[in-house]
Amino acid sequence: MPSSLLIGLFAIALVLVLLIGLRPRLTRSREGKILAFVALFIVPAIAAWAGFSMHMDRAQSREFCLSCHVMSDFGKSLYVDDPSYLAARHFQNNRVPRDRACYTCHTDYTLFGGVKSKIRGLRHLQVQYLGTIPKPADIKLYEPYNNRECLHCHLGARRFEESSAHRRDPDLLNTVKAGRRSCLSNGCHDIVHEVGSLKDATFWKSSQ
Amino acid sequence: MEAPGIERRIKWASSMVAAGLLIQLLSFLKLHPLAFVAFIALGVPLTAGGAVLYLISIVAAPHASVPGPGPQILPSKNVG
Repeated sequence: MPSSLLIGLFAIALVLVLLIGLRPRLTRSREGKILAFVALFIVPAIAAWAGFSMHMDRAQSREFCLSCHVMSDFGKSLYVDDPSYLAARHFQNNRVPRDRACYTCHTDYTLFGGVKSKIRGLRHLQVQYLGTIPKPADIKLYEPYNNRECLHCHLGARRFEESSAHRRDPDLLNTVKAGRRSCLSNGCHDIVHEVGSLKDATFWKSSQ
Repeated sequence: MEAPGIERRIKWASSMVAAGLLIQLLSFLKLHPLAFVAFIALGVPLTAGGAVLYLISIVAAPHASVPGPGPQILPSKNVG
């Protein structure tokens, strides 16, 4: 829902609620009762649901993920001028939508994962404001990276299926597709964000 | 005529719903996890609480305004 429409919905909801709140005598008539039901139940419920959808949508943006200071190095790593950096290569070549770069590769993360992931998301907030914030280089994934996120786009792609590196071992692609071998294994695509080495890196300057 | 107690509860419910909606609206100003937490932990419960209070107030309301068999006025008789 476009944000202007959402703001309009909230404005209408507030006007109706204030009308009933300031003139509760209106509810003495039959029409007033219907108006009160719409103002105090139907419209707020619709507004809350639309607001929730909007928040979930906004939470998929890169800006949202990088709004905590500890994540800023991960954001910087997307601009490293070195094609061996997997995240940077995807980001700079538009292989992932730039405004949703984090969410595209970390789809089961916090708000969008299971209950466990959501609890982790709350814990991140607690650590951010009440705990000891770790160094960016010390932040690791809770679970090994799921090949599903890579295969979501690459599975069936000619470049992926016919790549000489992928064909060197005849069983490699099958083990990758079955999730028995990680795409990020040593010797494969093992340079991802590498936030610990950003000090010495050079950065790409986007013209956009 | 309805008891003013219902109207008082409707006023409270309106205040809660309005406060909840305002918090929800303000949470859109910033793109930050805390804004989402404010939406979920403050805005939505206040709105839901107000809506529930309103529903309780109409369910618990005395049905004074419902037309029913009232006292019958018999036509006066001329006596005397």
